[in-house]
Amino acid sequence: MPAFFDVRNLAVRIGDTAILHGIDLAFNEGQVTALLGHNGSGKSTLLKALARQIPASAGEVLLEGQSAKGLGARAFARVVGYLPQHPPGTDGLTVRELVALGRYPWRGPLGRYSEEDHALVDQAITDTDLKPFAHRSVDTLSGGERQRAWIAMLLAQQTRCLLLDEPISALDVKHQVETLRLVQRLANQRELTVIVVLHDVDLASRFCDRLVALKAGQVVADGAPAQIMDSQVLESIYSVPMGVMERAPGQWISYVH
Amino acid sequence: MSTTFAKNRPWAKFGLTALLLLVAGLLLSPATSHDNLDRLPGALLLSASASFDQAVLHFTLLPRLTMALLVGAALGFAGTLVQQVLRNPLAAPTTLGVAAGAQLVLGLVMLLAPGLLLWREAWAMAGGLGALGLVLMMGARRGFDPLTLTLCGLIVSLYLGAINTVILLFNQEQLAGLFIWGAGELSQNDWASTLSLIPRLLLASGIVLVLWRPLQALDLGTEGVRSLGLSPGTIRTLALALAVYLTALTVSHVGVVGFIGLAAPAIVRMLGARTLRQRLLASALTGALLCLVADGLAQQLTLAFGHLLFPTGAATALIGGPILLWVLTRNRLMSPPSRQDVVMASSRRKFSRAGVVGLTILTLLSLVVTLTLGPTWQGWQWTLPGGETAILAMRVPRMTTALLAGALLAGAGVIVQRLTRNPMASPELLGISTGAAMGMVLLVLTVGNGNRALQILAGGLGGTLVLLALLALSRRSEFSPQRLLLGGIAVSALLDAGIRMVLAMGDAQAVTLLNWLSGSTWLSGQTDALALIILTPVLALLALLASRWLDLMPLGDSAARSLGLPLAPVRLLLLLLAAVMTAAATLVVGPLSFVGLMAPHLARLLGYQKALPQLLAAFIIGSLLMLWADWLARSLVYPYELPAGLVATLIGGGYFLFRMYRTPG
Repeated sequence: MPAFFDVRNLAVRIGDTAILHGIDLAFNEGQVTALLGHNGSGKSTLLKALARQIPASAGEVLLEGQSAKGLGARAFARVVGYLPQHPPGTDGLTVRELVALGRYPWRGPLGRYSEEDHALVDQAITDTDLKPFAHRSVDTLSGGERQRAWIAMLLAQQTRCLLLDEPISALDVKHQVETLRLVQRLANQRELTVIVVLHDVDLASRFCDRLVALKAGQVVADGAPAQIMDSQVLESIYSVPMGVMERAPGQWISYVH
Repeated sequence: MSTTFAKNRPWAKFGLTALLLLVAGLLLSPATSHDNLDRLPGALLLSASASFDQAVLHFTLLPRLTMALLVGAALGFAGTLVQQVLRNPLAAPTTLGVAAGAQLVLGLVMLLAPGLLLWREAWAMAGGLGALGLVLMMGARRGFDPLTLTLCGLIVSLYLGAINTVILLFNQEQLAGLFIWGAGELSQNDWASTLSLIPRLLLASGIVLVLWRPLQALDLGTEGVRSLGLSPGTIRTLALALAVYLTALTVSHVGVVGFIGLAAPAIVRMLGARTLRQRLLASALTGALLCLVADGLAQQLTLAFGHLLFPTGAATALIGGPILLWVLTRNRLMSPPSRQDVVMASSRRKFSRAGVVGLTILTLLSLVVTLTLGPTWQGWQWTLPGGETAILAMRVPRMTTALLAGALLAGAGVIVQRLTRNPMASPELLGISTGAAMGMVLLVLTVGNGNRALQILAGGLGGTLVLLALLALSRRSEFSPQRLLLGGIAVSALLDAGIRMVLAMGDAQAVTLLNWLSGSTWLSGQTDALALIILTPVLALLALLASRWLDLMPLGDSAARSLGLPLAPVRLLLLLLAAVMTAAATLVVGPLSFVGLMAPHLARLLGYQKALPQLLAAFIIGSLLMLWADWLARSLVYPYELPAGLVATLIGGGYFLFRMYRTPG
């Protein structure tokens, strides 16, 4: 079986600046992968290239063995969902209305929303703990609630893959953990492929099956949390001396010297 | 400073541009023609033995050249200031209603107390400050939020402009000079004006340069400024006051020279100036040179045509428009404006049945009243069906036209605002209605009035050409909203200049045109009504079918794309739809400016936030607005008539400003 995403010799240039070059990666179905790296390392760009938000300058991305380019916009959106790093203002929409927009790839501009669509929207709202806010305007919510509303929209989209660009950056610790737990649970239940850009290495090692680190547009580390959570590997990723403790099996704590 | 200008050596690019402009300006300007260059030494220090030509050079040509440079510099400076405060690359001094306010007050003084015209400058200043005060009063309610300020400025501008046009329409003879002055006229006959301008300009620019650091901090947004220990309200007020001062100075001396305040900062930014100080200095220089070139061109054209006076304000747009378009096509990466969130009153209410019922009842009542009630030769009367059929037969077509045109403009407004994610956007910002207007104007100029079919054809052709130009311009950027708007504004300004020029030529036909341009429905006959009856339902249905797209557009490019919206084709289709709607309405009722801006807002204020209900509500509101505007237009000054578009602006603008004032941020 081909990998879900197969990235081959991918390069992205913006103007004269090479953001990514020579990326070769395969992401398997049902795997939760974290993209790590310092600011400007190219992790968000890689995610955007996977989401077809920006075109590749060289190389290609295969979706289940086929070139992702050929797929129609809505067909692609039924398979791959993407959450941008800074979701824009929502112009007075309520949470429920925003989440319902996630059904667009399935129903198109004219198709009627069925009972199933409404049920999926409600489910997504319940999954993200947003029930009390369902009829509030998204603009009036706090940063964390707003971010969850966007994640709920992505869930309603019912894709087989989630590409999340720093989905927990605006959340408090409780909601950070809950969001990642939700992502992990959904990935297990529905065999979702998840690729998520994270800043927190410890949380990433806790909730992800695999960590991929970028530096200056290239992959510098790739492996299971046990392989990456090592002081030398972390030091090579972030260029600061770091140490790692394993508190319990599968629970690492990294710190800066 | 040069270290901050790192890449692509923008100084070189900028220097080259400035040099080109300077050479063009000197070549065009009569003051520096070959003959006059020989006379220059003698003319500078005018002695008693000087020749007549030297005196002309000394007293008119040289002051005019200096004036052009000063005015351009002041406007470029003011434009940069305004853009810095509003953080919106589409903002210009004219956006704040300053020019319209000054023009209105001067017109009133000229009409009521011509003796007081001695203090021209003070009156213009008072008008400009009054308009700005109105804008700031609204802005203060929402913490001087840039978008609110721009929006209020636009509305005040349109509102004062409408009043001004009413005055012009009823007093053409007395105010003929105002036509020309409204288009910017730089003629001088001594150095007095120029010399009085210099110290004031220097003072204002000096203050700005001293304050550049707090002004630069405005880049951080309201919270950022406050966290630096500055008061955003004070800085913005001060900067705006200075910009108004600069603008009012130029307005009082030479009239409205519109385009430079928008073009100079845009050009400078695209050539790579980044910090505020760079932009201020560079755009003052660019503005001065642009104005020099424009004035040179205006003088050459005036010479070439002999009897016609070609105003400089029109020439600035003729020059600035193409330059802006050229820069737009050349530069792939345009510095985007700060994140633009749509922040119109999101006073969200329950989508209520009462609202729907209320609107329906209001519509029915309006239809009955506007059809049957009205002044006749026997005074105000109800004319019931079966009564005087002649009166009803006269009213029905124009009512139908007004109603349907209102709905079309409202629909186009919803589409354009959602498409561009900019609540300030309106159909005429895309230049389509101006294009149609220009088509009609050219027709009137070349063949005379022509018949209705010919007029519609000319208007349609004009609108289509503008649309094609706009599409070609923004194709490479996948019809990105920012570029569309900038392109549209450039095209509108260009065409608008042409129209103003025609008006300034003082032709007898100018009044007919002015009537049509301000949205008169009186020409509307049965053919227009029929055409709209066929077109409107089709276009409205198409808009309703696209409502789910319209829901997705405001979410931003990446979100819309990740939901499977093919952005380029969808934008193209929506744009075409909006354009056809605008053009159809424009052709029969003139390039009305207000309904397309206002109806979507009002729909939203009533709580209709999603695209489908917003569209439906906007259709109804737009129709009602135009219906009542038409009714008032034919009833208020019976047996005379006002243009319905003007009345729509007056009613709608008043209500809008009231709502903006009442609803806190």
